[in-house]
Amino acid sequence: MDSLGIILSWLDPPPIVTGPDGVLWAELQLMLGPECVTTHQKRDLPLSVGSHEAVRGTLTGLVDWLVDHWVALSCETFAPAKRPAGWAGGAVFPTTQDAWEDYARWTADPDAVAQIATWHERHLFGNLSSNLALPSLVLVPEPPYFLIEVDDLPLQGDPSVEFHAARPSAPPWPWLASLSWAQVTATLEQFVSDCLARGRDAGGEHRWADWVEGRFRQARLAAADPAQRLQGQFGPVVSAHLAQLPPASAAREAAEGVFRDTAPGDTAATARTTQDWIDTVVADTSASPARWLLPDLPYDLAQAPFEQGYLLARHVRERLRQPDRPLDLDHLLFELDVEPRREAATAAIETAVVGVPRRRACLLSNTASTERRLQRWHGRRFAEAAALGRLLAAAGGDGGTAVGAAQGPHTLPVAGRRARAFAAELLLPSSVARGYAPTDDLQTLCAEYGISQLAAQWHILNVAAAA
Amino acid sequence: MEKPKRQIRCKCYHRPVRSLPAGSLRGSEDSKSRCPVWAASPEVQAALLAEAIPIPEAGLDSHGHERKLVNAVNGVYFLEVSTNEAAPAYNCYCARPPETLRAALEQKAGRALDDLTTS
Repeated sequence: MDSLGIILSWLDPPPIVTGPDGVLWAELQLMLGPECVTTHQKRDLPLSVGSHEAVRGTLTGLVDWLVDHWVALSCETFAPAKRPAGWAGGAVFPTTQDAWEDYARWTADPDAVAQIATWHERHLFGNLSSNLALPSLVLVPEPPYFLIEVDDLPLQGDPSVEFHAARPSAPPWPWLASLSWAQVTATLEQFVSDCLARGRDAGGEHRWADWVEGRFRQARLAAADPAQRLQGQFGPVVSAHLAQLPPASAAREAAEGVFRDTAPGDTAATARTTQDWIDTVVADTSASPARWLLPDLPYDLAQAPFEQGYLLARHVRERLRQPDRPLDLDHLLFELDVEPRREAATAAIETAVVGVPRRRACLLSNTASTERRLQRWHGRRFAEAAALGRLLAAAGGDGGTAVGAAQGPHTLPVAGRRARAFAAELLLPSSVARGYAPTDDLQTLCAEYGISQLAAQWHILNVAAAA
Repeated sequence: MEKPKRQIRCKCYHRPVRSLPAGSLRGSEDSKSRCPVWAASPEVQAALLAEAIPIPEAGLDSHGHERKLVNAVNGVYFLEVSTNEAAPAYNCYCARPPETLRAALEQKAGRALDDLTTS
């Protein structure tokens, strides 16, 4: 996993800047792994002219923003709304560009706009607090990852600076970097501490430093409080629902997994309906070898999510001794002790899985979903394969606790990417995808392997890029 | 005792450099602003600050002054954030109003500039 780097260089402030703002005048450089995301230059100049890696200004606003939103940054894992459809190559979270456009790509409902904007305040780095020029940086935790999505500034704002990737080999923006949650949290804490020390030692701003430190202590206590964490992860309605379930029960463990991937704005009635389904699975007492519980996961969390998905799918195919043949998904589910249930469920769910140790797991495929891709056989098969990936990844290497997950538009980004890569590789193994030539008949290949042409095309491209 | 008068710390790079209706990011390489040009007027700034509404949940700054204030005029909403100085002073940003104060601010936002400075 990549790490976050914050490089500070304290400067003398301009004469008009006084108080804490002046004491914390600095150059700031942000690194996501090897990529410097504060690299910028004056707009409208060639890339080779006048590029700077650090932005300059007071850091008080960033400190203030971090302290104000520490609880959200620690545990608020959900995106503010259903991700827009047809989003390939787009940002996973709302960007500064979306804010300029009043989140038009996300919603047309004014109430939902306000909700997204409030979420954005909590997750857009330095929003409404910092005078530093920064690219669009959205920070969202997904333990054990910390996601930071980088994008350029919108041209509508007539920015005088242009941020750009520093290295030719850098990933294109918008770029969702998955970093280590523990490392990012520790780095941000250290950043606040460094600024407080600067305020005290260099500027005599003891009063300000003490005030910020007190607030930061409160924020960290709140972020460690189980009730606040529950609310941060699930929103008020679902957290109230979960709080009624017995702690450490299978129903609670499975429900936390499923609800983490569904809408935070679920109504109490929707939450209850979802819980009813979970309860029926948990209540099934028939013993089973539970072969869906893989003793060891074949990947490392430091690997990219798509690589994790590929390795998991290959591992499953090796267990079946079917490295590259077309797959009967129902047979695979049977072999893994997973019962498919294709039935109507609440709109919050497209597909979901629940597994309880020593029991059969259950894969719910919502036949009432209005998603167009789920109306097609290939689309449903892909969604069910992805849900199976969620089950195997959630349960892998453990065995003591119940697991649950849902695959759909609210799915956690890294887990979702891993699951989609798993599905693509499970249905169309890389060994087959690599052998495909543009002159070959894609339609026949897709019909044989039970995958849509669109998914197959993406997979063939991704496999070629990863080679 | 009369409360000390609030001041605005409008940074040089927040001041308008050209006549864009919605303001622009400034040319002073590392800073930004979306302030409209008319917000540079000292009368407008003084009036905006004097009758700004504190955001209750933001609390007080390190000197006990209101930490965040909001106001609106001419369709633009302003968020004023304390700079933590002994005398109350505030940075100012154009911002979406907090939901809790939206109703009160919508009325203010409907005013023309003249309504603000002559009231």
